[in-house]
Amino acid sequence: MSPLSTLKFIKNNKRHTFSSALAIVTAIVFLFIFECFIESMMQSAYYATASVLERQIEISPAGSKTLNENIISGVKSSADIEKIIPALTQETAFNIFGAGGTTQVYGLRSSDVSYFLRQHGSKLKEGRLPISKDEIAIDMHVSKNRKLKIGDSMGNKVDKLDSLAGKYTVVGILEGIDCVSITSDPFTDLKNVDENTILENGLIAFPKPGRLEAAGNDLKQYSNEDVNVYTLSWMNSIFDDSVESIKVMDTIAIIAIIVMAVCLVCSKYAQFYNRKAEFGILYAMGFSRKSIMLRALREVMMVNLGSFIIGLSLGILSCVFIIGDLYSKSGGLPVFICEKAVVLSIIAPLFTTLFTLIPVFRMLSSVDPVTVIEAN
Amino acid sequence: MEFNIEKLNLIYDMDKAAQTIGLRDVNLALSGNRLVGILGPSGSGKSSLLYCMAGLRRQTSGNVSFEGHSYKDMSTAKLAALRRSDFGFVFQRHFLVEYMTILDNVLTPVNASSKKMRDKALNLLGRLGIEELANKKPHQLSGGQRQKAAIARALINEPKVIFGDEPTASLDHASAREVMKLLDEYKQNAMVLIVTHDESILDNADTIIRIWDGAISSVQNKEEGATA
Repeated sequence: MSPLSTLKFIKNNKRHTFSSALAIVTAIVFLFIFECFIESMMQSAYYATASVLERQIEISPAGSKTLNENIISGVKSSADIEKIIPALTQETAFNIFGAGGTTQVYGLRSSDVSYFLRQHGSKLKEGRLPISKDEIAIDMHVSKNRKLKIGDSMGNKVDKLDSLAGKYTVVGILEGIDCVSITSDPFTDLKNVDENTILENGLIAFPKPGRLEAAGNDLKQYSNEDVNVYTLSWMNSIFDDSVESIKVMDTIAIIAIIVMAVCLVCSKYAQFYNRKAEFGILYAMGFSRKSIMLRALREVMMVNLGSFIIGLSLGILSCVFIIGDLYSKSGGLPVFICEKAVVLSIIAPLFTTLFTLIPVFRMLSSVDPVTVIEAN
Repeated sequence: MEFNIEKLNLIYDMDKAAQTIGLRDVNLALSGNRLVGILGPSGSGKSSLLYCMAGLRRQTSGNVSFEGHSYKDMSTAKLAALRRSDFGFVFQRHFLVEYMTILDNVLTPVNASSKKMRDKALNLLGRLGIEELANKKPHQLSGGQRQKAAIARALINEPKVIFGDEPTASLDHASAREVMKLLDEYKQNAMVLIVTHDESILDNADTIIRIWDGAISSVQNKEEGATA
């Protein structure tokens, strides 16, 4: 290694290099875990509550009311709808680390169950589908989240904090694209009535392929104080509102990066300033200002690039262990790498490099070897 | 090698009301391998003359040329390249880089670490009697040893001219004599220019230039006697 090489400098200044790198690595690891945690929280919450709406639209009466005939016939006649099935929609608790919430539980006619499961890419992983009264097959994520296995009981008669009315016995575990849980047929008492009467209790409309948005736009006209129409666009607007608070946290994260960068920049500038005599003598010896500046550039970039790579690797590993542990075990969807985390992780070393080099270059461009010589 | 200085003037603080004249109307011609002493009291302009000759300061007026190349026609980058290829420097303070070993400090002007250069550097340190200190850091050496390392650094690129600005000022008498002995030996290979206020170290100088208040008062060549 030549005496003025960057690797030689790092080798001879391990303590300084380590302290500079440590600040950046710590910032990146913290940001990575923070952003992946938020992403895991959002994705888990979305999976639990919203993913079903990528394949269906739910219309249910508010309170103890029923859906009127006009709504039912309007939905049936919609050109964007492929099939309608009656459904009694309830919720059960699904608490993810960082966010409390619920997920849907559907009471379906026995004849509609296989179509419903097929639409959501869901199949039986364990046990059987509910047949007898007060039986339930739950999504495997719900099973992990609530630590329920086949044979266990759930509902607000078992746990007062659960929003699922009654007491159900878990007979099956479902696994699929969406988080769906189904109870035994709640319409057994309505076997001999016409379908519209059953549909008055609530329905699920499945759009034709590629017509989800159009169907949602068509059916949202029925939404009023007595009727709830749940579409994907409606759910996304709910999520967008919650994302606003996340943006505040992102702003705080960026401010934290800037503060870290400023502190590091001051420290790095001081280190370069203390080497003014070295740079002055190099210039006296005949090294051009350009070569001296390039040397400074390489030193800063190599340390920051190395810090970024180490920080990113440790960030991903930390997410695998911390978030993986928190979310996988609780039935959530862990995220180990997300775009925002990578972008924010790049910002830390980028800011530091830029804001270090600007004052350092200004200092190096004005270093006068004669002043250095005579000052000593 | 040959230096020609014509009507050299150096004025500091040109843009201020109170200007300082560093050099006034200096004319000088130096050639050949020799030890040249530039002697004068503090503030007389001897270091200013050295800086102009080394290309570290641009003259206000007049001209300095080295081997026929005028500094006026050379860009800052070209002057830097000239210093790197043809000049070596020894200052009052050693200016060794504290985090580098002595060997790396010696190799700095050539910025190379090939076996050939390392052997050359070790050979130089050996001739200066400090080869065993090659892997030490500067703070582990005495003042005299550091100055010897600085001399080795100045010699590594086989310069045509060595500029010494008060190279013995911060040394004890014994170390000062040793350093001057080494520089005196090197005058067989190059022009050695020593700026000092201590005439006692210039016993073996071939030329002594006396400078007073920015102007040369006399140039004394050993073989010729004093000239005005």
